[in-house]
Amino acid sequence: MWETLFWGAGLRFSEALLQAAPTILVGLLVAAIVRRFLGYKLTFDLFGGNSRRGLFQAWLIGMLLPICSLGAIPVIRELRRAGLAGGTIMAFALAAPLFNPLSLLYGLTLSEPRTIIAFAFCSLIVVTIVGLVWDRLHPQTSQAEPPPPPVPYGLKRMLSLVVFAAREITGASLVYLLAGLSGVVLLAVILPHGSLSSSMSHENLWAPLVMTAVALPAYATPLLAMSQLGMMFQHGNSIGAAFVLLAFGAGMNFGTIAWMWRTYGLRPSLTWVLLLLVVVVGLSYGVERPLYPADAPAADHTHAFDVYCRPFAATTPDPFHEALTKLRQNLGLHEVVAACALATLMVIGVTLRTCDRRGRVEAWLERVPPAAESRAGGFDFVVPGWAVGGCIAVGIVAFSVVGCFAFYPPPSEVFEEMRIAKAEALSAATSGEREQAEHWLAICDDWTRKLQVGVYLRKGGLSDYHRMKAHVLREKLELLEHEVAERDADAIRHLNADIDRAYGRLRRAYEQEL
Amino acid sequence: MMILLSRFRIGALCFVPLLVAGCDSLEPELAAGDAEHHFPEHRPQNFTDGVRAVRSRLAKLSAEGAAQNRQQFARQGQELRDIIQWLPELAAETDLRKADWDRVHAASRRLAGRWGNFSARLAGNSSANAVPVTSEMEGDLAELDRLAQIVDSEGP
Repeated sequence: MWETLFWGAGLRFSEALLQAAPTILVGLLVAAIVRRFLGYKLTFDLFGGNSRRGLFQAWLIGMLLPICSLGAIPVIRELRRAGLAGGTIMAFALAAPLFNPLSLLYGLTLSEPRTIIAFAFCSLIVVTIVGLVWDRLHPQTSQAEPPPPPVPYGLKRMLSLVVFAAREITGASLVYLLAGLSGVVLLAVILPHGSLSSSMSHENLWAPLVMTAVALPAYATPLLAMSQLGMMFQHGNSIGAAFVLLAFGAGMNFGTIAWMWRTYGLRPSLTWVLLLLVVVVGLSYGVERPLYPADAPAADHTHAFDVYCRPFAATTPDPFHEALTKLRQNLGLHEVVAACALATLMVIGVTLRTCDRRGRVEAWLERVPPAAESRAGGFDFVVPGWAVGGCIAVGIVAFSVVGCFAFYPPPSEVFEEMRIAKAEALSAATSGEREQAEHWLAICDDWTRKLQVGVYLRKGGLSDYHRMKAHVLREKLELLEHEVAERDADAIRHLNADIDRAYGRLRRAYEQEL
Repeated sequence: MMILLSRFRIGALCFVPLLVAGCDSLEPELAAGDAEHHFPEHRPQNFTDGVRAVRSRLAKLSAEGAAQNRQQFARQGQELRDIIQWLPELAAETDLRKADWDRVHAASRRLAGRWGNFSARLAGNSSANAVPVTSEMEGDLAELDRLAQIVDSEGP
């Protein structure tokens, strides 16, 4: 029992950390750009200073940057140093993780576009109301710090980014990141295996409140939250609960709250959380009926929220081995690369903190070279820090848009991958290997979604016919997963044939009828 | 400080077992219940059955109306609506091409809307006389029949 809890919590912690690694890395890069390239003055102006439009600008900038609620932590620490008001900073912290180009595209294709746009608008209402009221209740929260001395252009300036990121990831930001991930561990300990499978139905009046209790400690990357939203719409779950999941699950975590507590004190933090609860939960009940699709099929349960519960039942024989297997199976290449980069930064950070406590490296980086060394002349002119920083920031956004094309490949590539995954899944199902079957079925399911988004991205739209063909295959994959769990050999054989046919029709639809 | 610490310890000692053991009591039934996906009993096996079911249920409801048993009428009316809405999904499980599927989709949407108005008329009809199905609904049914024939002719 204790072993199951321990390794279950460990698995959830590791999964969340790996999923967050790419967006934490982007967050560190953005924070370093703010500090070393944009500078505090320009950042302050970019976020609208401490005027009322600052809330809108913070929301807009947050929407464009591909960071998660953990990746937002180093950024908001820099925004605080730049002298921005608490309302503006928290508006950014809440809005930035909600959407990014990858997740927005996913949401527009696989969820209800009308609902996703309404959710984005609701998030603007939330940050505006909460930010305005909070700034009014707690004025004078801005506290600018003197900007760091400029770093001379060239290699030193680029190196200063790495040094800052390395110190940040081994300093206070690390503590807040761990605080953020502690929520995932808490849920993995207290929520029994599969216990949220039937608590978010549209008929359940308490669904938004139950989701609030789960989503506040939970951590979800923007893409995970969006895929869960898609599943909620597919299963006819509560729309209000879906909004709460996006606002709290993706938008904030324990780390954000801990930072706020440490920075502004207990009362202002509690005020912020209470205001958020009132506005988000109020809106969630407000949107439940208007946004609920009339023809949504209400399913009796969903596995969308299993990731917030204990991963193993109490009877699991070898939880350590299970955890290791699951972790290996779910690892993505981009997560591994980002985790390695983070680990490298941590090694550099620990080395700097151990060997250079006085900041001699920074002093060396900030030392201005003699004038003769500084310019070669001609076309070799000095590009100002704000221009380089701006280009990198715009580059991050542009890269994430371009990344969409790689993440959502064209149908021909998808079918090549799906063919392999389907063969593995059906073969595992036939031979009764439940874990293998579940693993490959999930991959198949994921590819059907990527197929839809990929076509939407390239064609600018997706017909109801193509959506339905993918939906039919997903339904059959889900049925097979249940039959494998039930070990019903006849039903499995029957479904295998059904899935083969549905796959053939899907392929024909996407290859010949687009 | 000591008092705070001891309060914290007592709180933690009470809280953790409560969370772990208390919630665990839920586990057996939930762990066993990777709850099954149930299709409602009135869900047709395939598209052709669905079209047949729509026609027969519509005929029955328009003949009987709601005069005798309002509750039963409401339930059967809802079931008919469900079946109409399932038709596009059932059609997607056949080899119908996109153009034909689009026709099924459009017909089922129109029919669902028209059934809404028609069922209100049936519910308001206090006599036991049958209310004839409107010509627009007949048109949609004929279109669905034609598409069901195409599916039948293509075989399983």
